[in-house]
Amino acid sequence: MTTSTEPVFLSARRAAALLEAAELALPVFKGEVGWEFTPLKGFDLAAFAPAPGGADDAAPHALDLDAADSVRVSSDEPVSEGPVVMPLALAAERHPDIVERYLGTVVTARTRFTVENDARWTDGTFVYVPRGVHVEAPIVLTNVHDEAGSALHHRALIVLEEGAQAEVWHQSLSSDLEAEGVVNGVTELVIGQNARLRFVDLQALSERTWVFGAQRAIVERDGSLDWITLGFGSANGKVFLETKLAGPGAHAAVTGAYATRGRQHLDFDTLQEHAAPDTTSDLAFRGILDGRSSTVWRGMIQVDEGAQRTDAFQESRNLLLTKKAHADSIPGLEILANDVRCTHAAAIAQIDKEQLFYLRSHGLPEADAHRLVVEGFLEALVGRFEAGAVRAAVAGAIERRLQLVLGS
Amino acid sequence: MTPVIDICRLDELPPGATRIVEYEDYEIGVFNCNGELLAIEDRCSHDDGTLAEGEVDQAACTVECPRHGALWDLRTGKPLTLPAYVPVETFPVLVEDGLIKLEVD
Amino acid sequence: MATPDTTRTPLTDEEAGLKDLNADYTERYGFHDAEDYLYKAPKGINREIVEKISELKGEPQWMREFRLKALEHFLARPMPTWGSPKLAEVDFDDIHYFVRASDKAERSWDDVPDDVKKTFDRLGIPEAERKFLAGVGAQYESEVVYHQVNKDLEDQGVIFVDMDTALRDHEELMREYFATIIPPNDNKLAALNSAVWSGGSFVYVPPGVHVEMPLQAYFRINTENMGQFERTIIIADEGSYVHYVEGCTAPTYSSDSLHSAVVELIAKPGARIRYTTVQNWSQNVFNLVTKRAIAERDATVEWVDCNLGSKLTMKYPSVYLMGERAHGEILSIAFAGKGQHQDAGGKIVHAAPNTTSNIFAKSISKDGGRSSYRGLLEVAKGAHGSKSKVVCDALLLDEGSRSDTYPTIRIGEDDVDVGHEATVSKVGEEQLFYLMSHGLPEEEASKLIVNGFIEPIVKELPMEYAVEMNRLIELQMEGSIG
Repeated sequence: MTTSTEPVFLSARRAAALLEAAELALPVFKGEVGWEFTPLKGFDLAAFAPAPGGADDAAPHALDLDAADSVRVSSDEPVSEGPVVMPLALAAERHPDIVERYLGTVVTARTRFTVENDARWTDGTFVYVPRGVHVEAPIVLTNVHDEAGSALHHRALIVLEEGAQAEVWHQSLSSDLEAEGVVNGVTELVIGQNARLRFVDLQALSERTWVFGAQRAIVERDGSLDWITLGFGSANGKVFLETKLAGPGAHAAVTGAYATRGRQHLDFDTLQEHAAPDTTSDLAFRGILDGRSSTVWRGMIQVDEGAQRTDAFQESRNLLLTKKAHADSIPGLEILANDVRCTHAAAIAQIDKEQLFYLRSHGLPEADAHRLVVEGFLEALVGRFEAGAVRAAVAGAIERRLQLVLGS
Repeated sequence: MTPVIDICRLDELPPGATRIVEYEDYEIGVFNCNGELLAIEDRCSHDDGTLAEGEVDQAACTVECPRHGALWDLRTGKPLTLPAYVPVETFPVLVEDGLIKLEVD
Repeated sequence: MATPDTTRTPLTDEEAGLKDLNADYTERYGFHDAEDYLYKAPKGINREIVEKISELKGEPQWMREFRLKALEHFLARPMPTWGSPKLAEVDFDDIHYFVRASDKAERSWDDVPDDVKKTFDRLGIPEAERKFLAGVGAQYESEVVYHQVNKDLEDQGVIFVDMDTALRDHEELMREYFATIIPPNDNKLAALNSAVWSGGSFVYVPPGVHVEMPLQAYFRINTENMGQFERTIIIADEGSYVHYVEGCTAPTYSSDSLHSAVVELIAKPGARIRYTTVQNWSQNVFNLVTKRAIAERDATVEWVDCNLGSKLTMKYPSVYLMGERAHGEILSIAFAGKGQHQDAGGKIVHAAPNTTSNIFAKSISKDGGRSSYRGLLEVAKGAHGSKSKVVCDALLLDEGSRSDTYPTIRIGEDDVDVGHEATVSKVGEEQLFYLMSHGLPEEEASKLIVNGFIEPIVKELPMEYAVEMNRLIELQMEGSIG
């Protein structure tokens, strides 16, 4: 787990986390706040041996990237003033100062999952974009869960210094789509003053694997974050997605899509925290539920005292395709500043009969019309992006997932 | 052919006693109500918690959920009071050779 | 069970003023004198006190047993861990759980403090009501009116009595419905109420009867009113209609710091019940209420809930739609001023097909007050064709005030149409500017805007209340509340 060349600060961190993990219980009781809809009864983390680290290679069902010259993780140092993109373990050795400065400063919650990750992470990536550097080509990070029955702890640390710009694609995949296991990830995003980050995160793990995630971003003054999360795989688990608008003028857009089937259970817990005035956020989650699947979305908009002229929006929409599907939606607002505009909306509905009628009156058979309406529901999210590689890739990923869920 | 599981000997479940068994996804409570043997899911549909610790009224053949007081009819699996309102499953109980058995679906 | 007296925040001016007021009353009007009162329980709660309550009321055995069992639940249960941090201030050992006032208590209107009288003046409250609200005069002049009202109801077969009378004269009905909607172990405060309940209304409306005039809580004569632990049951039989109103907009002083009522409503097929509450308790009061209704096939239940007073109110009226095409509606206004936390909302459960519901909640927070909406919208499997809309709007009038929204939506059925929206904002600049440019001073303009904000719900109140409500909000806006 720890290499002999691992810097001291990292080893010390791991050792402390191991001790801490021993004191923390898993949230197994249904009544535990935050875990009411995702009881972990019968889940034994210890039953999954920690996965060994692996190479970051592409695996099946990766995001289709048409863009040429994408930047991939390598062990080479950048030639010029380019971004540093390398395995986290390596970065800790080569750039200990930077890693130590940022590691663990964004995801600070100490839960059993984040602490286990702190102690045991093997695969990890580090992306560092220096001041003022604009990276044109997308940076691609891939995590592969390779060993059935293992618990893979992976960690991503992405830092954009002042004025930097980058686009990062992150995918979590399973080499065996039937394999059982656990994937426990921690992702930390730092967007410096005036920096811009677009972060596309695809989770397409085996539908028999548990997924746990703690992902948080801090956006500084006038910074901008465009975060897209696609939750298509996994059997069960819970992912936290938090953004903190820490400086005036900061902005974050979060777009989420999921399409569940069978007995999948997905639980998303999002937070838009406005800690400075004149900040904006916009969160839109959409999902379709098939089979006996269930999803939970809990979303909180928190406006701290003094965060005047905040403009925050949050929307969650679910489309239930069967009688046994079940969706829980818990939007929330905690507002301590008065000169704000905060809106949230949650809706759960059946297929829009008018849309269906329109399509059928144009000659489409019922099944096709039905399919088109469902696709349209999710693809509406795609409209949030301008034409380009991101939009195409996200649309493609959604389309492929829908084909899987609805049948071709 | 509905599967049948063994619970315990008849003399191990006297009137007023309860026994909880697990079968696949279910937890099932077997009750002896003044001689009548009844089995319902051990789950209050209000919060999906257990009914096991609840007070059994043998005269009325009901069990009261210990957490919020919903009253359950042991014969039908239906809740008689709020806050529960969705019924739970019941299971036929048989006695063969002094052994209590359940038909499970 | 006692809450440790560790951190006490300093009293606000209002609280300090009120504190002395209460002390005045007890000294002047002899609350402690044994001769004036039939019974006042010592502080704290235990078996003896509960048994004594039952004995004094001459209750049947089953009610006595019910109370004692509820007491056990109350003692065993911990306080809820969610909700307001102010809950921790409730000291259960520092409360008198039962006071039976003598009907002969005489108090003088002249003794009522000036600023209290002034508030009533501004609110335009009729003389009789003023006396009642100030705790003055158990005999009010309008007794003749009340007698007539009761006779009309009797002719229609409507039963409208206090709970003690109901237990005596309508025991069968009581046994059938009492505590079937809210069992004694439902939550800690319901358990407390179940053990020490006293007062409250029992209403039964026969099939097909429409009670035209709203039944008002203070029309009940010969009983203590606005007691701490009231228990109310309303049964509207098939096809009937009744509107019940309780409380009042004028500030109501209570020496009791804990009010924990339980209200159960049963709307049989085709019936309609509207229950309106306007609460403006003094700032020493913890108002923790459990209200729940069931609506059977084709029935409607409407809760109109206005929370203006108290230090802390936690109240979530709920409707369980148990029969097809049942309809539930919750209209809620909350005003949270200095030192107040209004934690209100509603719960609707769709447990049958083609049911519909609406929750419309508006809140205003000012001077550091906190207003929270807490709600649940649940659609059970099988409740296909259900439609529901929840709208929560919050107005934050100044910095330092707070608004929270905690709605939960649980859907177990695909063929449904459910929507929820919430907005939080302050008084719009453009609106203000527009009104001011028409000659209105800023304060007047603000009041107009705020009144407009709550108007959709205020217009559902009976007229006298609506008028008082508008005036009261104006008063609150000035910060000069009596």
